[in-house]
Amino acid sequence: MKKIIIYTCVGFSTFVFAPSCKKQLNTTPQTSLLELKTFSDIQAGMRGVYDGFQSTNYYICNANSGNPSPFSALPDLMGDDFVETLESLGNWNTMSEMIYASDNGVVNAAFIQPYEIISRANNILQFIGQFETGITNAEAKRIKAQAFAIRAHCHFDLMRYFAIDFDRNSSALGVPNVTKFEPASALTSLPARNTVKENYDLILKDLDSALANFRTGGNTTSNTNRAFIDSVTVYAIRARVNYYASQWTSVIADANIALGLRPTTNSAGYTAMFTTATEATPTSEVYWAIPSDGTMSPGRATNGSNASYRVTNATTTILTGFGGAYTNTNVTRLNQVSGGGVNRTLCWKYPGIRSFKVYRAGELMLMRAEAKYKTSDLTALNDLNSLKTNRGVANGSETGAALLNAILTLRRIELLGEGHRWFDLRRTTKSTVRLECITSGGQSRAAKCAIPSTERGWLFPIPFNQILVNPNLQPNPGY
Amino acid sequence: MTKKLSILLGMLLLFGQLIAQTKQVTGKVSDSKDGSAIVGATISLNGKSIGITDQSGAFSVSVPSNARKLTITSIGFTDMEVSITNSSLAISLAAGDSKSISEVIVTGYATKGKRSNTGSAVTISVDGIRNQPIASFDQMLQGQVPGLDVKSGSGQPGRNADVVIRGKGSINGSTTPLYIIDGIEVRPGDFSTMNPGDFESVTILKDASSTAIYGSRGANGVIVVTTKKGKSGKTKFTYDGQVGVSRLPKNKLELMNTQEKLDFEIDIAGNPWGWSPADVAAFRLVNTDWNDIVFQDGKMQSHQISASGGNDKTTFYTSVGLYNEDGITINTGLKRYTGRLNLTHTENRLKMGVNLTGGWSDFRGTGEGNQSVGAPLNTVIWALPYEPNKNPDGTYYNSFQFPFWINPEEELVENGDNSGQLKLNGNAYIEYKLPWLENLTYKLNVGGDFSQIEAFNITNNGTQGANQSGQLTAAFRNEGVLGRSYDKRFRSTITNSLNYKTFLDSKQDHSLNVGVFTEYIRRTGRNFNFEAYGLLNPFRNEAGLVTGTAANGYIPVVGGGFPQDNTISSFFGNADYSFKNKYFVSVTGRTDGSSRLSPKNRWTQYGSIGAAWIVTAENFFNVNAINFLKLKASYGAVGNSEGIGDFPYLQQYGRGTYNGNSTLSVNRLANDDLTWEKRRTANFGLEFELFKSRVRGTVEYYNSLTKGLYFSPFVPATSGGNGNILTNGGNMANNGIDVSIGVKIIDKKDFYWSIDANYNYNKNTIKSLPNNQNFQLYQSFQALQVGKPFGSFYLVDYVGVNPANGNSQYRKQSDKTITEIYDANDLTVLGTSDAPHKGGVTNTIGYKGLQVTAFFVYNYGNYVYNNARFNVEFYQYTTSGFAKNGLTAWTTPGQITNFPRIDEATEGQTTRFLEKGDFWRLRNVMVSYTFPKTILSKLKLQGLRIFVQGQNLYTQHNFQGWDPEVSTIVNSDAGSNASVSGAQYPTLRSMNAGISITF
Repeated sequence: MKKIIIYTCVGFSTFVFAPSCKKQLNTTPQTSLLELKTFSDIQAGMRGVYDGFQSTNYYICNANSGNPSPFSALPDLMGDDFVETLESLGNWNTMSEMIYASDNGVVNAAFIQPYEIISRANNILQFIGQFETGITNAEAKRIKAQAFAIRAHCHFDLMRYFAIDFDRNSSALGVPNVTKFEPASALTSLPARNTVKENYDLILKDLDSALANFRTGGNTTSNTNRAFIDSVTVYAIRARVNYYASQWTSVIADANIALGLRPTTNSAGYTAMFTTATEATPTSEVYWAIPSDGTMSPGRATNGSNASYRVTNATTTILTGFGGAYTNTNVTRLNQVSGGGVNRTLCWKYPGIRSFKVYRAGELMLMRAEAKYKTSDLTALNDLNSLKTNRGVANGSETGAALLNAILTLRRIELLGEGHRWFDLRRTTKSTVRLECITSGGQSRAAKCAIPSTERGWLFPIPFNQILVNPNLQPNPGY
Repeated sequence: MTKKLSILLGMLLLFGQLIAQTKQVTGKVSDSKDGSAIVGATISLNGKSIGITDQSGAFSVSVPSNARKLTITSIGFTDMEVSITNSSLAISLAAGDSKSISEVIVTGYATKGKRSNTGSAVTISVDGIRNQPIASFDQMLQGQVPGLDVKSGSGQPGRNADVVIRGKGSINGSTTPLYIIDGIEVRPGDFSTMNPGDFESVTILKDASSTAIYGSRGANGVIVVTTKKGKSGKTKFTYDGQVGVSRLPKNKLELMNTQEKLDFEIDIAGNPWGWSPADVAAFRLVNTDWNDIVFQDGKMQSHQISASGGNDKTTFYTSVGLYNEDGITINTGLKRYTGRLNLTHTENRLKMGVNLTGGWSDFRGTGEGNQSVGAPLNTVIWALPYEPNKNPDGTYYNSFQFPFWINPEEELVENGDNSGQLKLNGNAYIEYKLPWLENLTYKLNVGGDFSQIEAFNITNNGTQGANQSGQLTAAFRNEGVLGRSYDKRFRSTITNSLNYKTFLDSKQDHSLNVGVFTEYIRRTGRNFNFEAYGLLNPFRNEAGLVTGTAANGYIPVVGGGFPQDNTISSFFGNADYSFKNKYFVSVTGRTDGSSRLSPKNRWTQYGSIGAAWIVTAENFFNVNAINFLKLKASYGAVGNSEGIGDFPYLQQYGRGTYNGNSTLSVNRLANDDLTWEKRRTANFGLEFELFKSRVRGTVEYYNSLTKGLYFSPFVPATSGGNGNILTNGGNMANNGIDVSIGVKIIDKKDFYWSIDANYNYNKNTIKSLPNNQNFQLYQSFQALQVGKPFGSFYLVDYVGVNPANGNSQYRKQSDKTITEIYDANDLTVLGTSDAPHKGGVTNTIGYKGLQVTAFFVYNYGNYVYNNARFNVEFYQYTTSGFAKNGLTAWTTPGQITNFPRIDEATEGQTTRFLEKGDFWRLRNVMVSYTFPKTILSKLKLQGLRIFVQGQNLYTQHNFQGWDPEVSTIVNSDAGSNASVSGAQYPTLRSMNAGISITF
């Protein structure tokens, strides 16, 4: 009898308890973190905001084939300075001919990625408050400043593709301005589009907040690492925003501050910054550059030794006309022979380079020159010639319309392949004329020679699926 | 645990001596044909073996005093049930197939009589399909059971199938059935390292009443496999072997030959390469058939030796097997070595056993289901027919198309993907008949499934593959790439059960069988991988690598993680009641907890109920033509928490790198309410046998509804978090019928002819989506719309070419007019990718030992998006291999054609590339001869059978590709559900011959 009792207990315990440990259902992830707890987590989280720019849907391309990312080479490919080559396999033809419909994948990616970064920045801004005290206070303020600046920068990039126009006080539709990360209502918060004016107001407000936090947090001008935003970058961002809004005096004011703190580099520095080995040499020129830590270490930014696109013959003529640093082999490769035996010019700012320059002094100088011209400031020519000198290019003495033309031409060449051309066309003439649109003989993939200002493609469609999941988003005209 | 167990074992042995009141039954078993003694026949009581016959065919077994019937089984004879009398039994068995397998339903936890089963479960004998020359067992199930949809879709050796039972029940959760071998869960991908020669029976559990016992994992149906057990008696050795060859099917996506391609380029496509007339003249002299270079006749052979035997206490089954298959793509194949040992031992009240198997597979594969410009299965299609394969000096020719094309032969021969899988699977059980209550049994089953895969791929320095990698991705890959990965997974299952069987009355009219169970399942895994560069040393392994420096850039990349880490804990019970063996009721109830779900919602309860009525057992039923009729109905629910990752309810920060430093960012949004997805099914069935069982059939209607559908809806971009959130919103229904019918047209002793057919119609409907939405995009070409089936395509309706200008024309959805402008607003929901009609037909004709079986499968009513065709009809790809259709491209006004002008941008999201997936296939035809006993006794053999068979000899379809079957298993493009995205590994057509000897 005794034995039976023992047996019963043993049997029962085996039966009931072995599988019943509810604790065993409590597993936790070992390769991801559930919340940002420490200040070091916040610092990593801030770098996570920047990490979003390394996406192929923003700036970086980890492939030699040189797939144009939406905010790096795509605006050049869609403009009149680049033309698609045979090697692209025609993958970018829809973009370069501007025949995208609202379900286009590249358009969708260009819409999603900036918001992804904005949500990360908002998340940091929601977490940072607890560290704005004591020993972490100063760095917390600087983190806050960077989050504000990035939020502004991304909203502005969205405007560049999706806002109906760029007038400072326009009541036309811009993009939704998002200032909160609300994961709990991810599916139910359905913001409508703000107006262009509201976008400008909120972007400028964020930039003011960024500057204010840099002021209290320190490190206002002396960021030694170009991978992160400092206050000089914030002035540059604000200058670009005001440049699109044609607020010329504001452009001049911010460009003055930024160029005062970090001026343009010289000809040697210009070529050096597009060379793998000496990329860090020009300490003056670059304000903010996105490094590439892609999966294919040791990392490279947009590439193009086997380019999906080449420089058009017309632009090549302008390039060679300038000469100087612009035709240095670190910047431009002339007479490159392709598979089909075709001679062509390749923009060599990408191959082997480890960072994509988002803001730099050259752009500021040209924006200031243009702004000065618009406000009849006679030193516009000085700015233009100063930059030419720093690029090893002969100075000029243009006046009037010729001066404006000279500024805009140098802008094309100075910023070639850096993600500006299509936006400049969209802001101004909305007209593209390609002299090369031959499909035969290995020349190019483009067949559409002229894109008039009446084309709907001058404005990206609000992506089809985004409207499906957020009916409050109004579609752009024509789609 | 181990300590407790050893005490328990001791206790069990001690108390094994207590035996209830018994009586002795004796008898003799003989062959009805000649009266000769049958040696080694098994005597069982209530499904359990209690003894065997001796050399004279005699047996003596002890049974409980209230036992009424014994079952006698022996291989090669029809089973027989005999009533116990007070005198010695004289039993004579008639020759025939052993029906013992098909007359029981093996649920994995219990073996039930088919008669008493109230749910929808089909057991098939593996004997009929095991010899199909396929490495992965699940592929053999195609067309065998109504409602079991098996898409093979690939001829790559060892590739497993895409299996769905009675329609897909989930969107983002798993739709794969649960595979159980001897009570232990097995991943379908591991079947290629298991030997189907060891399998004895397969039971497909389809409705809630049958799967409820697997409730936490059974929502998609369960496939239960049992392996062969030893039979007591003289030890039997069996050798099974076969050899065969396989051939390439015809590709219905026809490509241009040299003359056509050159004419096309020059006359239609505007000479995209810019060839001179001299170039063209030279090219016209070359006409390479790339299929001849990349494909070959595949060869396979398989050998297995097994032994089975034992005495009345201990039985064993053991086998060793070898399977060797060379694919039809050169240098691809599978070599598999397997071994198994199954042991059972009975000692009074104690029964224990182990089932152990181990396997090792060597795969050499090639990428499939992708659009990679490096994949040989793509480059064979994209090759230019006017370029040679090799240079005059024997080196591989490098195409003009480089780097967007590399030589497929060099890639297959010089570079490659290899992997080796080690698989160990086993379980041990003890069963103890508790002494104080008769028929109360305790069982402990402990099992483990271990799988490790080591994969190795190499792109050697100097090959076109390495140069391509260097040019298209990063220069440091130019001198070769070497990758190795290791993945190990282990799952353990511990099941405790108490089973009680009794009659509620002395007349034994009321029978009750009750079981309570606890189960604990834990799955863990670990993996790592690295990729290294710079294969500059003359070795094709890690020794070939030079050390990476910042200067040379050969810095290896390391990855890895925890592919699985989850636990399920369950408590459940079932009760089966029967009255007079004609009314049956079974009830199941359970509670499950899953580590994958939100702690506040991770436990759930559900159950099932089923009932059956044997109408023919009623006295009032006297329709002569109907000798068996059973009505059955069941209703119940089953849960699913599979296929959703391990921590889908948590907001998580994933790691990254920025400027060489660590980063964290949200890569998944939390869903604190995430709970079980539940599929409830109602099943109504009819089983009948007519004309003395000449016609046997079942008809079942089912209606299932998945509630709390796992679905990752598109998140508005403005909400961030990478748009990744898993919700429990929405419902989806699957309604349909399963029909199977078998007719013995001729049923003579020496001559028989029977037809077995099955058919399933399944209608899937999305009933609702989260947040009251009624529409969501799904994958690349599909949409989810309330009221439409899951898997519906979403494309713009292409209506041909305008003869005036050669432009594509589309139908506007607003007013149904024709437009030449592609507009996303004209996208419309179309037919589905999952065939609603499926079935199989087997024809068996036999004369004496000679048998011919022909087995067809068919599939009707689905669509396939042909992305492989898109890539050879795309307007920008005229510089590569191109579809013959391109010759009809519009060139002159007034021309009527269906191929638009070649310089028009080809829109992919249109019905131009949507094709019907209908097919019927002669899946297997086999001619076999079983030698008669008279010859066998001269040869001193117990059995001898030879056969020849053909697999996939004919497929009727109109799909422009190798094969219309699309398997999502092979598709590496995550976004391209139900499309042939490219690099299709053709399904094999093979001929085999084999032999089976028992001695």
